[in-house]
Amino acid sequence: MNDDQRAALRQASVPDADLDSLETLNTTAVDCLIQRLEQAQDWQARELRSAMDGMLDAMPRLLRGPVKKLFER
Amino acid sequence: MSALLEQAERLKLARVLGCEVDELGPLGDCSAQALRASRHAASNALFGRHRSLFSKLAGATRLLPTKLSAQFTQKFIGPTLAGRVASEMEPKQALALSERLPTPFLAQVCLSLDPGRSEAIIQAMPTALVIDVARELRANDEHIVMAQFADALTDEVVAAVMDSIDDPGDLLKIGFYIESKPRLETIISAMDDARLARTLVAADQQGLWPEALAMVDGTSESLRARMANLIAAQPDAVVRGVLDAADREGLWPLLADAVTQMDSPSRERLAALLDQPEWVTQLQAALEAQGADPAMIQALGS
Repeated sequence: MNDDQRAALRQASVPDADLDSLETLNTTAVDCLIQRLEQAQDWQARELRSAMDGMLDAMPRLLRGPVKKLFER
Repeated sequence: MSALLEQAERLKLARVLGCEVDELGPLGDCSAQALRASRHAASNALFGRHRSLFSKLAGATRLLPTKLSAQFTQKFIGPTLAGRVASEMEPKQALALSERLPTPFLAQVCLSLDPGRSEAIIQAMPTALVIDVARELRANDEHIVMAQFADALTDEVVAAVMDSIDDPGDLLKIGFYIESKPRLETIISAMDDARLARTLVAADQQGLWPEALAMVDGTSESLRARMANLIAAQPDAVVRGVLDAADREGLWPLLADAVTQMDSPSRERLAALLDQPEWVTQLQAALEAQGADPAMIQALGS
């Protein structure tokens, strides 16, 4: 694994403690992991945003305020 | 066996990354160990990146009446995210919510729930609910997922789940994929000989000898000896079945280990069923490679 790949994995939120265990992967496998991880992060971010928006829209008015406050905190 | 375990690791990694196994590309060619390391890293990264949002969603469901929370979980959060949100819930909250969710949904949640991160929640689930979800997972052929949960459940719940499984072939499929050998040892030790024997017959009937032999690889000598003697105690057709499978699927090293663990009467019985000369040659070669007693090796050929 080269320095750029290490930086990309850190950027994708891979904890430092896990980086050493990925040393056995060859560079093409690491590239693939980075790519798949970034796609999974993007999907997760979209789904989370959509879940929060959907919940807020469908929420009884009385509860919308406190939950919106919680989401924005 | 390593091929089966590598395929299981590919599937687990693909699940975490939200893709199909064949989309793993060069990553899919890695060893089981490297695939496992990738899965742990990916799981920690996905959870760590949005942990505060998972926590907020868990907090929001806490503010809602449980019935509405269950509806929102199904409609907006979905099973994949729900598995990650659950890790941020108190066991009591997760339990109340899970009792309102349909079993098929809970089974889907299990596919993305990290058993290590959610151990407290998993252990808070009532046995009856765990059994229902396990039945659903079994019906969906999710033996790998079931094996992942074996470490997180208590001995009593694991025993209850195992008792609820009718097909002994399913027990083999789950046992094979359990990563923790001490855990597997505890589970198998709780099974009586009659039950274990049924799994061996199922191995023969369902083509599961690789799983049956590899499952006990790496466990204690006493457990391996128990399994080995049970194999030799099966009807002739079953014993011939394991010999034939060893020949077809390259299982001679595993069978040789079983032979070294057998008591003398069991070994003599197996030797009497070595009908094919090539079986004798292959088994003797595997025993020799393992440094077995030359007298034992010789006796198998006489």
